[in-house]
Amino acid sequence: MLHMSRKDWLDGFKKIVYVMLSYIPLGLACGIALDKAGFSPFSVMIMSFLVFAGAGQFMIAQLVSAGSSPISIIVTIFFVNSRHLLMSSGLVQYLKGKSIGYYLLFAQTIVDETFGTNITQFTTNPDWTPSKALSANILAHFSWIVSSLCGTFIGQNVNIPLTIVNYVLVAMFIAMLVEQVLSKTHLIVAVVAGILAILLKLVLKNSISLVIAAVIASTIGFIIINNNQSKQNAIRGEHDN
Amino acid sequence: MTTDRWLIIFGAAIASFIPRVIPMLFFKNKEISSKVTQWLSFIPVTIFSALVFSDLVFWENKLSFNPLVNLKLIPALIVFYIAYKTKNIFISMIIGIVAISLMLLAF
Repeated sequence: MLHMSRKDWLDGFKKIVYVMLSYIPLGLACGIALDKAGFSPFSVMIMSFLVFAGAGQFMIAQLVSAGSSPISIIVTIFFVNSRHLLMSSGLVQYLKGKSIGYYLLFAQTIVDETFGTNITQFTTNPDWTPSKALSANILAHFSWIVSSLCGTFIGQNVNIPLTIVNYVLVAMFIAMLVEQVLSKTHLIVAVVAGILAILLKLVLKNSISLVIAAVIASTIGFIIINNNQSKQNAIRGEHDN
Repeated sequence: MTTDRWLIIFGAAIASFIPRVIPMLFFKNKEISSKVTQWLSFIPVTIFSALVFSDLVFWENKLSFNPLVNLKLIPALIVFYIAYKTKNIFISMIIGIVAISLMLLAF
């Protein structure tokens, strides 16, 4: 149904291997936290399969330990993962004419790390295909499931320093950010998004701030390039006269 | 395991799947207009900038720009420089982990 060749898997693996490696410490730490919050190994495996969200699953552990109600936890997770709406919208233009099974599986495996990897490959690597993208996603998902499951077996006696574990992602996202600064306009827009994200986080105290910051900053970028284009058109118009 | 925890898992699964799948199903057979594509072209850079900065400038849940209090700041500058110079995500990650570990050891 999905037609993924051995080469698709191999090429996907080459581009996603650092994400798979980063999921080992993150997944272990997440498994430990969920085990502490009273989740069984089997349930952590199911959660990592169905939810597949690092930050979101850490938050579940935190909120359950704090005694939050299921509904408030589910709503929080919705906000944390709402940014995937933008990522899914950004990727779908590269994934035309696939089967419904492909879209469902691809959607389920969209996270920050697979999005960053795929968007860079689709924009810079002419050999990147939807099949390679899906194989990369599935490999990342697999690494997350196995690592978080293993974390539940390590148990609560091992203390993984969370600041360092979290920095694995911070460093990865910085590198992905640098990769995405393609022009001066992108740089301006990145600075605007960063400032907005900080301010909105202070005001809203909610992960939806990420989405709002990205939407506003992208709109500013859109206005800048359209303004430049109309200026250029005006100059061209003058020359024509 | 209590039923509450299973309820959280299945509820969170649905809450996570909806934002991921809706754009896929909605846009899969549609031509996206060039204006929308232009707007979407800024999403990667804005999302990652928002993710990075809303994490970096907070230390123990408080806003802090002091590099001697917020130990994430100096390693971040190093990672930005390395990422810009090498364009290599893996090297950037390794340098970042070493840098933050040294900061935590030193302070």
